[in-house]
Amino acid sequence: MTSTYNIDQLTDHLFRHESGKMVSVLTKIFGIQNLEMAEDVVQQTFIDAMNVWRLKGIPSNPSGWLFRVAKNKAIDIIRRNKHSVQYDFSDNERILLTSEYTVVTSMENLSNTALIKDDQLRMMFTCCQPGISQENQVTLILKTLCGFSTAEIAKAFVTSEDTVSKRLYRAKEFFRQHKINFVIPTVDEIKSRTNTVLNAVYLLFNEGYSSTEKKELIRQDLIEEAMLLGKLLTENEHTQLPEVFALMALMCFHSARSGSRLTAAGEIILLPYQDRSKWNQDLISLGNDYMNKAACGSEVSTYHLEAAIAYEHCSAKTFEQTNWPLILEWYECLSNVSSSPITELNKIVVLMQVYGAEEALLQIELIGEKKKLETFYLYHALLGEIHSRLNHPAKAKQYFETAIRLTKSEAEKKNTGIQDKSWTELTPANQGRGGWRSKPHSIHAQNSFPKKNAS
Amino acid sequence: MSEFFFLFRGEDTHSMGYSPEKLQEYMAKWMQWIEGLQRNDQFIGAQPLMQTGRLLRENNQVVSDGGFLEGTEKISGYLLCKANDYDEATRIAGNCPILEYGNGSVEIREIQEA
Repeated sequence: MTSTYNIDQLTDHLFRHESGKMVSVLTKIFGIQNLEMAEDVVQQTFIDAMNVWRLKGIPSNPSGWLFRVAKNKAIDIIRRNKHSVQYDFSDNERILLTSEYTVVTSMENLSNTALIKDDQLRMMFTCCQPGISQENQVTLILKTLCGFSTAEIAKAFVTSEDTVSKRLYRAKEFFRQHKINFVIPTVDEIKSRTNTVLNAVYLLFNEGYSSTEKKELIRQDLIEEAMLLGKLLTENEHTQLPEVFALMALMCFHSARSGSRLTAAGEIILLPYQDRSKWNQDLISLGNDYMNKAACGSEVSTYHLEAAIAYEHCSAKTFEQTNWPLILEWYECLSNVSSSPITELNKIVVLMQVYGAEEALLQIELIGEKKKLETFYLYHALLGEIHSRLNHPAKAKQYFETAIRLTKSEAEKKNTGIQDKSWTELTPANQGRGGWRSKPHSIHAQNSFPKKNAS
Repeated sequence: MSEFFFLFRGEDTHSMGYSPEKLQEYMAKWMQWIEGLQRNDQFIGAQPLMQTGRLLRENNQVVSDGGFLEGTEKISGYLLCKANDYDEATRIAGNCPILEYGNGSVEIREIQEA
């Protein structure tokens, strides 16, 4: 007997990760218009696995077992629906599925495990169709590629299951109404389409990273899933763009510090007080590798700049040794590339470290579109900090109180109460808060990005 | 020691809504439970049952083929184990995850020795 009851044999998240692969392969087979059918086959396969494995033990090749069962279910469906107009198998890749002589072999070829990564990429690009809104893109990615249930997505985005269902419905409606090919875009499209995908991956990451609720493991899962998807993009020759590596570097640098950001009780530990020995050096050096790969071509994306900022934080031995002037330079570049009130606010936090509170107060007055910031707790918290540094306790108190009123999460609330500490911890990862981040633009920079070595 | 037969009923409609992650977690609980029995040398065997089925009555007519029992009544599998008496068998069955997660039940029957 090869099977065993030993559950340690079962890798963490096996079902979740296999789910994304299986949905991708089956979508290639059924077509994106029939996405739901692919999802149903996968769900039914897992229920079968659960029923059988729990009593008979785990097969020696769990993932092979899952794929075999899913394929058989898919063949059954194709046979059952042979005369249905719902499926269009007329394209060259799938025409052999329509004949009883070739259906089994053809299914074997299409579900070749060597092609799975390609299929996952096809799924990523299909989820990130320009006609689908950003929220819906990310929701769709979580459902199809990351194997999240509606309830889990709702939890991750602190929204209702109803909202998630509606988003998924709209996205699927889009697929039903438009003839979308399930492919990786062509060379001339790849650049702009990859940007949309990167944006979705970064949103996913930020949603996981900016959260302060430690007890919700689902947030850590978001970070991991985002990095897995990013890694997929780095592994395909068509999608190995500099900005892909830059985003990977950025995610590595941020997640390297995630272990030291919260206390056991879930309170935010601000940057100056973080135990830097807890920072994950492996991730930092992996980030460096990605950064070196990102340093080619003549374009500097927002990811390059944000990664550079994150790198500076990671490489500073102590808070005091942080190279604030350099970080400020990166922020200047960033606000030249894609200026937003949030970026400006973050820049001013750094500016305060370099030039002091008075200059910061002056600059904060100069931010345009301040209306958007009025509802953002960090804006008030920063004003509170500035005034407290300038010895205006009454004003500071007033701003801090507004900030507290605006925060939703408990940990953020505790954070705002700490008046004598710096706000800089909140600078690097806050690009994604206060609304969905707009599509990043890249520019032609004067100089190529400097290489960062782990020296 | 006597042998006991556990009959698992129900739960299937329930597990339909589980995410892959939750299904795996649920399955892992089952395995932990069976592993515990195995460690104590009390496990004999277990098998899942297909969702399909047929029911015959005295005149040998097929009354129904499949779907003849709904939801909570449907048998999904069985397990054989050793226990000293009904009290111990019930304690064992009490840890079955079907009771914690699903809306299922476990029927406990002692196997009759000659």
